[in-house]
Amino acid sequence: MVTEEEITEMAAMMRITIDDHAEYVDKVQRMLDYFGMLDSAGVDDEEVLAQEVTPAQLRADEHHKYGMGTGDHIRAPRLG
Amino acid sequence: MDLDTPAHEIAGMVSAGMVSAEEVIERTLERMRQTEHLNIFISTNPCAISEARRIDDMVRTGSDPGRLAGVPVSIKDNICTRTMPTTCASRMLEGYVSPYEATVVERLRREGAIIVGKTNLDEFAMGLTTEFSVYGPTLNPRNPRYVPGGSSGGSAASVAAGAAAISMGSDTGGSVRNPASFCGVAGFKPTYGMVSRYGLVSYANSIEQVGPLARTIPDLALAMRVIAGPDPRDGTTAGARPVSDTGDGMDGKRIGIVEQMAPDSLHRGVRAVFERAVSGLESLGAICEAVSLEMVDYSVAAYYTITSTEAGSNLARYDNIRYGYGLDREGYEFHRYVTASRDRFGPEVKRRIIAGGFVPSAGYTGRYFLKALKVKSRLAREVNRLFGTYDYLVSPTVPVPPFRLGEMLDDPVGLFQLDINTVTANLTGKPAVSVPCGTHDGLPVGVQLMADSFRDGPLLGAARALEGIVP
Amino acid sequence: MIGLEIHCQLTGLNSKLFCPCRADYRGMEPNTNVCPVCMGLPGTLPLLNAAAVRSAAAIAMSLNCAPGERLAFFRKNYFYPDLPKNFQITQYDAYGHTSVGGRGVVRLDDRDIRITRVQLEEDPGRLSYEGGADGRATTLVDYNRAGVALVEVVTEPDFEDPRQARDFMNMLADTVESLGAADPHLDGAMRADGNVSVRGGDKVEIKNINSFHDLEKALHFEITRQNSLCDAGRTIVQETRHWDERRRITIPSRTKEAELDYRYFLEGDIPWVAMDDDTVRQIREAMPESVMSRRDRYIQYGIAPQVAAVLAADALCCRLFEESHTDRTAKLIANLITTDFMGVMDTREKRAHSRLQAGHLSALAGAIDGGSITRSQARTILARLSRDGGDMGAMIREAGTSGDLAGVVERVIQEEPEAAERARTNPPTINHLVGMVMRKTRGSADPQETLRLIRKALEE
Ligand SMILES: [Zn+2]
Repeated sequence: MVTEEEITEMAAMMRITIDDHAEYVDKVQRMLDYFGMLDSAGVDDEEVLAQEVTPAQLRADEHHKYGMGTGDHIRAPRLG
Repeated sequence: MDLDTPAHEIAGMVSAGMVSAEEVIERTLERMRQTEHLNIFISTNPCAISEARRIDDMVRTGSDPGRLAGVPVSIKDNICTRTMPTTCASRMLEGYVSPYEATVVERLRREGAIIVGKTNLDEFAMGLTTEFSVYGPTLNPRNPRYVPGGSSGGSAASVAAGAAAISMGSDTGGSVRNPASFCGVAGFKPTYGMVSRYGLVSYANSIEQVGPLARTIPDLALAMRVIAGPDPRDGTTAGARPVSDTGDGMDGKRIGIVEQMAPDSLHRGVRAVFERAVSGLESLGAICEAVSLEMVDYSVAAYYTITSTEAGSNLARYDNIRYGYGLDREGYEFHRYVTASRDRFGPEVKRRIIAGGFVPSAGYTGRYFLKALKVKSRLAREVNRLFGTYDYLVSPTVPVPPFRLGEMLDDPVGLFQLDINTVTANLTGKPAVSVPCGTHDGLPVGVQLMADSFRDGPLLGAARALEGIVP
Repeated sequence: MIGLEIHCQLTGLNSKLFCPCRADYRGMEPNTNVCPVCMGLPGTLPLLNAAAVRSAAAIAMSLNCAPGERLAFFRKNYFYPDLPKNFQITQYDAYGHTSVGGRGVVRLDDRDIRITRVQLEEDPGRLSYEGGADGRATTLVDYNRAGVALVEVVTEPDFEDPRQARDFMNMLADTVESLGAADPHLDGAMRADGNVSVRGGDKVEIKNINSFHDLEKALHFEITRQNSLCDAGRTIVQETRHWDERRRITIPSRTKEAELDYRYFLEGDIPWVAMDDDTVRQIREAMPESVMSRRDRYIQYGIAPQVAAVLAADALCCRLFEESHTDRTAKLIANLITTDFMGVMDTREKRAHSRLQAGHLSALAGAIDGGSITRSQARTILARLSRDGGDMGAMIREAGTSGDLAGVVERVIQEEPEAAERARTNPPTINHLVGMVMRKTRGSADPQETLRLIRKALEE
C-alpha cells in the first residue's frame, strides 16, 4: 500500500499538482492496489518477448535537412 | 447517393462522374451542422470544399482521383494534420498545429479522401466514454443520453451520424472497437506494426495502433488497403505486409469462444446478441467451441500497468517550453514553471501520470512493470497456441451495452473492467475487429473477432461473413 | 580507485542517432539542425541509425567486449530543459545483456582495465545562460546537438591514478579515430564522468569534465579533497559533484537524491535489434587493427614495448610507420617517429599539421642505414622537415658531403663501442679513434678539431 506521502512525492516528481488531495490519493491507491494482482499471476519464469528487426532493416545513415527552426535560442526559465 | 452510402460506392460514383465530390462534401458539411449538438468534432476543415473541387477537376481531366475519391473522412484529434489543430482534447495542446502530417493522413489524401474534421476523444485517448474531453462529452448518435464509448468516441459517432464515411481512430486497449460497438459501426485494430503510427500522438506506444471505423466491413478493408504497409518513418512497421483480398468463406473454419470473455456474469442483453452471432457463424459452416485463455484474468491489470508507465513518459514532453500556450515565464524557476504549465492536464490524465510514476520507479520495478511484461508474454504464448488450432477467436466486444453519460465517471477501476475483452489484442499485437451484430433495448451491441498476426485480410473476410448474417 | 564513464559522439556519421539531422552540428546557428523527431514533437518516432549501431559495435569489439545478441533501448526519465522529450533514449541491461557491448578487458601498461558496458544513447541539447545578477536568469537552449549519437564506455574502478585514466581516454580516442567512428579532437566530442573513492570510502561521482586535460586535473583535485577529509577524520559520503572548469574545483551538484529515480523502462518505438552472426562478422572484418594488437605486432619487429605502445596508440604515427618501414628499418623508424618526430611535434594538433611524409622517413632511414648521415643529423633534418618542409634529398646530401666532422665522430664512436670505452679508461688509445675519423674523411679533417670533438663526445 503506497502512503499519501509517497503519492504527494511522486506527483511532484512527475511535475503534477494535485488539487483535490484526498480524491487523488484514494483513486491512485485503488489503481496501484489493482495492479498488485499481478503478484498472483504466477509468471515469474516467463521470458519477455519483443518485436525484433535485423540491422539491415534500420534507417540508412543519410542526412536530410528538414528546414525548421529559428536560428535563435529557445528561452527557458532559470534552473534552480 | 445518400450519406449512408458506403465509401467504396461513393468513390466509385465520384470517379465515374456520377456525383461530384463537391456535392458529397457539401452534404457532409450540412450533416455536420445538423449534428452539432452531438459534439462530434473539435475542428472542421475550412478547405474541404476546395479540396473536393480539385478531385472533381481530376475526374474531368481524366486523371485518376484515387481509391477514396471524394470520400468524407474524419480524423481523431490525436492524429497530426497540418491544416487543422491537433489538440488531443487537452488544454495542454490548445491550438497546437503540427508542422507535419501523419502518415495515415498523407496516404488517405493521396487516394482522394477529403478530411472533413478532427473528432473528439478522451483527453490523450485515456478513457472509454469520451467524457474526459476538455471540449465536453460526445453524445451517442443512437441515443444522445448515452455515451458513444471511447476513446475514439467522436470518430465512431461521426460515422454513425453520417458525418463521415470512414474515420481514423486509435486503439490502445479497445479505443476503436469499444466506441464502434457502442455506436453500431464497424471498427478495426490492425496487427501491431501493420499501420504507421507516425503522427499518432503516443499514449502507450508499445501496444497501440491507428485503426479505421466505417459503416461496413468492405469499407474497413478499403481503408486498410490504403493506410497499411511499411513506413520508413515508423521502425515498428518493418514487417508490415499488404492486406490480402478478403472473401475466404466460413465453411469449415474453426472458431474459439473465449470463456473468460463471455463469463456467466455477462450482461444478458449482450449475451443474447453474442449467442445469435455464434449460431449465425455455425449456420455458415464454422465450427465454434469454447476455449480458455487463463491470462485474460490478469490482462487488464497488465494493460493499465504498461499504459500508465508509457503515458507517464510519453506525456513528459508537454512542458510548455518548445511549444504550448502562453504562460509568462517571469519569476518562475524551470521545474516550478513546468509543474505550473502541466496543471492544464485533466484529472484522469494526472492520475494515470502519477500511477505511471510508481510502476517503473526504482522501488517498485520488479513488483509491477516486469510482471506486466511477463503476463503480456504469457498471454501471447497462450493466444499463439490457440491460433495453432483455431482460425479466429470470438467474444462480445464490450461486456455491457452502452450506458448513460456520467454513470461510470467516478469509478476508475470499475471502468477498467470494460476493457477486459479488448486489451488481449493490444497486449499480444493481434488484429481484432468489432462487428455491429444487433441491439439491446435499441442500443447497439458489437461482436469481436480476433486472428493471428498479419492475418488482417482473412480476419476482415470473416467479419464480412458475420456482418452478412446480421438481420 | 577511479572508474570512468566516457561519452564519445559518433561524429563520423552523417546523421543523428534517431533522425536525419546532421551528426556534426558545429558552427550552425542555434536550432537550425533540428526536425520534428529530435525536437520531440507530438507524434514523432525515433528511427535507429544502422551505421550508429555498427560503429558502436565496432568500438565495443575493439575494447574486447562481447557484442549483445539482441540490442534493446530504454528510456531514462527526468525533466531537464536540454531534453526535448524529458526522457533520454539509452541502453540499460535490465532484461539480460542488451547493450551494444559488455564485460570486456583492456590491457593498458601492465594493468587490466575491466569494461563494464558499452552503450548507445542520444546526446541532449546545449544550455547556456544569460541575464540577472548571477547571469543565470534565463536558460538558453540549443537543440542542434540533441539526438546526436553517443557511445558511452563504462569501466570498473580499475585505475589507480589520474594519469592512467587519461591514458585510457587517449587510447579510446585513438581507437574511435582509427575506426573512423569519430574525430575525438572536435570540441566536446569526448567527455568524461569519473568516480573516485579513496581508502575504501564511498564513491563520489564527478560530472561535466569536457577535455582530456581537465580529466586528470579534476581527478587529482577530487583525490586530494577526499584524502584531506579522511586525514581530518571525516567520512566521505556518496554524492555527485560537478567539475567547475573556470575555478578548477569540484562542487556538489544541486540535484537532489530523490530526482535520481530515472524510472528506466523499455522504449517500445524501437524494435530489438538482432545482431546475427553475419552482421557481427561483417563489422569485425571491416574493423582496422586494434591498438592492442598493433602494439603486439610492432613488438615482433624488435621494437621496445614502450616505444611500440606509444607508436600504436597514435593513428597518424601508425600510418607514417606502416607506409615507410621495412623489416630492416622498422626499429629505426619507430625510434625516429616516437623520439624525434613526437619530440618536436609534441601535440596531436601539431602533428596533424606537420609536413612530414612516409617517404621522408624511409629515405632518412636508408641514409642512416647506409652511413651517409648520422643519427643526430637525421634528427635535425626531421625537425626542419616537420616544421617547414623542404627538399629532403638536398638536406641529406648536404649533411653527407659537407664532411660534418661531428657527425663522422659520432658515427665512429657508435661503430666502435669497444675502442670508445678503451679511450675513456685509457686516454692515449684515443688515437685509434682519430685514425678511424681521418680514414672516413679521407684525411681531410683537421686533426686538432677531430681530437677535441672525440673528447667531447666521449664525455657525453
Ligand atoms: Zn532531427
